[in-house]
Amino acid sequence: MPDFLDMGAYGSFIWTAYGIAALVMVGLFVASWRRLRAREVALADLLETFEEPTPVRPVGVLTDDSRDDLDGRNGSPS
Amino acid sequence: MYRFANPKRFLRIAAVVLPWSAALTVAFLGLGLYLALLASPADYQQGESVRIMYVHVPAAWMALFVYSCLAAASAVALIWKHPVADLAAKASAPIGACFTFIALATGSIWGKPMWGVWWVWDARLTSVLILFFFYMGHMALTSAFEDASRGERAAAILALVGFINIPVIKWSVDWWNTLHQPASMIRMDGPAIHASMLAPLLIMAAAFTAYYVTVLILRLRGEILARKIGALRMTRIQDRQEERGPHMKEV
Amino acid sequence: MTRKRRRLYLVFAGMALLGAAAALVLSALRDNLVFFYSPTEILDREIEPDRRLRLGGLVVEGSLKRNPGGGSVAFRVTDLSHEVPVTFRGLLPDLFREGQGVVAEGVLDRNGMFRAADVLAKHDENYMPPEVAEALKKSGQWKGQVPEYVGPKKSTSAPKKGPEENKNGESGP
Repeated sequence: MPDFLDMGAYGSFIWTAYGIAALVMVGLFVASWRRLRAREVALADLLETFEEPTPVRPVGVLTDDSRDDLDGRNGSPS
Repeated sequence: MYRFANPKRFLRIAAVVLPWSAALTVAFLGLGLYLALLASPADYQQGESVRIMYVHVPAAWMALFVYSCLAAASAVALIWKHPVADLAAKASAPIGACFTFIALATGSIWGKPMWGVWWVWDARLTSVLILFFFYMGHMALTSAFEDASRGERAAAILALVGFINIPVIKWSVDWWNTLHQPASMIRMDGPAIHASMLAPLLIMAAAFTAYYVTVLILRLRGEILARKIGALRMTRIQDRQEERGPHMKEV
Repeated sequence: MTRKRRRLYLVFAGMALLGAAAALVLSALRDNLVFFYSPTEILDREIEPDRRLRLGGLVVEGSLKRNPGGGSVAFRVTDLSHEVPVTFRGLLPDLFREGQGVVAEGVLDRNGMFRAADVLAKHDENYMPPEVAEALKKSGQWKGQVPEYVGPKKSTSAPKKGPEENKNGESGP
């Protein structure tokens, strides 16, 4: 095992290179995944407020706390 | 290209491809790392340090490949104005930038023990650094404009201009004398790499390609959603403006 | 359709123009983009002393001399037609070997001696396990596939073998 880590005295170079590559690739993957999730949530939120046709809605309905009420009235929990 | 132009069709295809590309990334990466770190021999000149090649070279290939994809998508976006093409270019740029960064960083780490320097301004290294700047410029341009479509047009033109750099990188080692050695893989009389080292190299390249497809799909889906969210917000604001005039709520 | 056509031609024309311009600039820059000069080029050009430049070529077999105590080394660099003597004080990179490529950065003094401030090893594009390299050399199949002055010649010794393995270095001066 120590032989494997040493890599014929090039260990520090090899492991740093692999470490940087792993860090960048995992980081990019996680960031891309999180961005997608955040947007999926944002879109779901937005669509929820869209269920009702806008013109008949009284002023002030579209607040965050009233959204649950809207869902209840629609009978379509998503 | 036509088949992917429609976002809905793209999303359908992407949903089928994604599990496969993700599984292939993991499988190839596992096999590739095993071969690269354990089951491949040391080089007759460079000893164990040759193992850096198995991340450095595939990353450099991907840097060129992703840029070619980005340039192709930009051309399609400019000429045919396909809705997904702009987004594909935008989604590709950060991935390509990451691959370029990996190629530069691992190359530097490899260069120190072998060449004796971290960095030299020879034609190959300099042209790859310029590629990195093109990626950064593309990312900056797509987000610099208030009007997204103007930013995308500017970025697409930048991407095509930067494409000139790709053949320069490829043949820089042949056109000029550089510290970097000439190509080992694509040459007249076949690869100059022994089969036991070629296998991990190609498998790592396959893993990186599958990784690119996977992350591209994730990012592209994100871009399509962002576009959708923007459009929905727009219509909502318009609806409300019609409804209550100046009485607008914060969105 | 015609507008798409026009945009298509526009993009192609733009790329062609850009490519031509880049080709012109690059060929004009050709001399300045050179990373190093070969011994022949250095001897041909009248280079004023004390100008910093890079010299590239192969380390002549058997020319490496280490001055004990002083920590400086001397060797000669060849492009197989001319040679330039080099002195250097410092650490040589791991890949520095006789018969292998090298790039030295420094100045040429009045006596034609190249005083290197930095020595970089240049390796070739061949990768193989040591056993394969040995076998290739033994069977005389060492491929003559490498460019003139960047590859290992037939006489390159394997790294792990001691100097006794070096007796086939008949290309020495």
